[in-house]
Amino acid sequence: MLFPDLSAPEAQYSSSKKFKWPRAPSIAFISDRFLALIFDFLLASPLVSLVIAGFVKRAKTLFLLDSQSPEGLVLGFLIFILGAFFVLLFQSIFLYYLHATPGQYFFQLRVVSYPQSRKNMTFSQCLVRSFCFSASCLLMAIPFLEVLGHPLRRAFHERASDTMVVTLKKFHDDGPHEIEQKFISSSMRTGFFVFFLFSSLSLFKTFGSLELGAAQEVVAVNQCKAIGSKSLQGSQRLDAALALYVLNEISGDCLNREADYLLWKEKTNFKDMAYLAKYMTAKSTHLDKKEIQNYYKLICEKKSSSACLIADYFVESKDAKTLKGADNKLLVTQVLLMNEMYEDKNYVGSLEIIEKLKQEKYLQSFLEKQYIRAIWSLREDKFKDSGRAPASANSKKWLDEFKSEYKIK
Amino acid sequence: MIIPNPTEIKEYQKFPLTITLVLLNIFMFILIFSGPEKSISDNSVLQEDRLVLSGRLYLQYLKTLPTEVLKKKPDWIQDMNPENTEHLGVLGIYSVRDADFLAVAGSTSFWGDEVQISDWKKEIYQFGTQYRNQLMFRFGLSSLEKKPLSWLTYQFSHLNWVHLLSNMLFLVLIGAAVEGLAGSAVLIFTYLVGGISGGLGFLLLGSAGTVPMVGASASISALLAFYCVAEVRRRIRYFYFISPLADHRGHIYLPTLTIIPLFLVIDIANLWSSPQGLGGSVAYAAHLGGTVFGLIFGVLYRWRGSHFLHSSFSKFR
Repeated sequence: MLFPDLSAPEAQYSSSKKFKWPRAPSIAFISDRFLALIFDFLLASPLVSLVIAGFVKRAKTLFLLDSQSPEGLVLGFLIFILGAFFVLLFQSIFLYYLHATPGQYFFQLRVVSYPQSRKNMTFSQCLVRSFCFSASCLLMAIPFLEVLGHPLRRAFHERASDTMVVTLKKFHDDGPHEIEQKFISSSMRTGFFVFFLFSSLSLFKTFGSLELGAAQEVVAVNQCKAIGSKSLQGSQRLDAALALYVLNEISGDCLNREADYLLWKEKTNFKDMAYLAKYMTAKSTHLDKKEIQNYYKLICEKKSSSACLIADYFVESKDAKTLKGADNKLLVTQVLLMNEMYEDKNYVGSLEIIEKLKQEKYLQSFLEKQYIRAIWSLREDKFKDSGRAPASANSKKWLDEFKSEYKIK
Repeated sequence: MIIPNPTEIKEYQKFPLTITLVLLNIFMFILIFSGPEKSISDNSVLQEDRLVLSGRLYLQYLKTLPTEVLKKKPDWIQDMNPENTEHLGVLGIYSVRDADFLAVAGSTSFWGDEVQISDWKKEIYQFGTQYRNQLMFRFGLSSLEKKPLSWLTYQFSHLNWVHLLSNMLFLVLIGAAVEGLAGSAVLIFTYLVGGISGGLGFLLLGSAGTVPMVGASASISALLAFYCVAEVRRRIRYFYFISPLADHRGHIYLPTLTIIPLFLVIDIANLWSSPQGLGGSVAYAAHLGGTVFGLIFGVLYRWRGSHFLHSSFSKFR
């Protein structure tokens, strides 16, 4: 039972010089100690939070800007150290002057020196007790469970500092039964073993994932990572993105991001192509009809522009004639022409464009599929025609080149 | 769990004003939620891609501001990377809270994707209209809605049932304690003026936010602060509960001063640790405003004596 009022404690803890333990000390109830701990937490946490508030604000801001901020991690560790320091100070001062923390004081508990009975605890005893208390918190509070099994209800931090918690109440705890002690001790050992096993395993796992590159920089920038070349910038990059989109090598979302990247630059003179990209990806970005029309209007502000001609090519069911006026230097125009030639069974023409496009190193790997597709079709075509007409010299040249490149006998 | 549980609480007929205040809060809550439902949380402006867009436009808006106005904005804004969509999203959240930006957003010329900008301008206008039509906005206090009546109505409005119940629990406990100690007139004075002081704290420390503040918590903070200063020597009965076992539940008497760290200091700590302009759903600045008033009034109550204040307030009865 807890005594409710401070004004009349049932027994007085004497701090006089003559003080001696006349008999076995009055062991404090575990429930009282637990309540005192909760009360201390409620009382100390706002004060400690107040002291470290400035650092917490800074850390929150750093993590807001970068969820993996190294400065934030260091600051987080510093905050932890500062918090632990203030808890240590808070506890030590109260223990030294009041012989109890505020919670223990209100719940009629006192911390005394044990087994040596002293008038007051030394400050170093208070510090050691507080330090070991904080360290026990780091070990998932498992060392605190010793109060359940120890005959005098003394946990690790109490034995390390030669202290003990006693009660001022009329009734006191008698300590655990012998069988209870054995059971709790063995449970604690198992607990420690499981704790160390799991923490070691999780550390190994984290180390493994870090080695595999889990800690690589993750920056949500607008540009699409699928376009690997870092040397490409501005209009060239968007042109490459458009070409790759036509080749089905990048997603609509990827192209959309590239267009956004260019559009939101303060000064850009390639806006019509960016709007073209938006127009082409309308389906994947779920644009409504009105938005599509608006993009078309912006693309075709200048009717003769390449962007407008390419947009018209898509509007007019891919009529190759519309592509004639488009700028042939643009990769996207070349890719569209290549596709058109392939569709018209002009495989040699298609291969010539592929050859030209392959000069752009970053496109080489993406064009390989198109190259093999064209060669295969060319061979099929030749085989089909072999009974009727001889294959052209051009076709033969391409097929021979392919054979030598892939070492086909 | 540990909550104040004064002995006098059972004699509810002694605290007519506390009960009236609680009923008034419940009535206002029912009134707000029985109105037409116009939730703005589904508005397209608050969708992820639109927040990124708002962030982009907000960055452009910041470039147009003079240095002295820019200095009033949170520091973290200066560190934002315009090419990082996560940053732009955070900035977007802040932008829809910035009343100054929303006021000029429709008329400002921006560069970028013209189709998106044109759509966004229409959406932000609709968002503003929908926002202003909310009963919560009309009853709440914000930099956009600070007409005289809002200073009172916000003190009786709540966001949801949990918000209402938690505030009413504390209002019953601390209201009864203050009414029992100093009388109904002091209770209503502390509640209302504490609330106004909380509103002032919110507007002064919360910059030009559009998010309306509602709730009785600033008034309750004022009552808590008043009580712990006015009754500094008394002990309050707290109820604690750990488990249903006999020794694990019961009452304990603690000094009134423990209210300060338990309920008031935590508000200051939370206020100081929140990144500027991006505070959570709790208006700590308002709690602080209420607390400051409660402390001053509590000191005055002790200094001039309860008899003086009793006689002063009795004139208004």
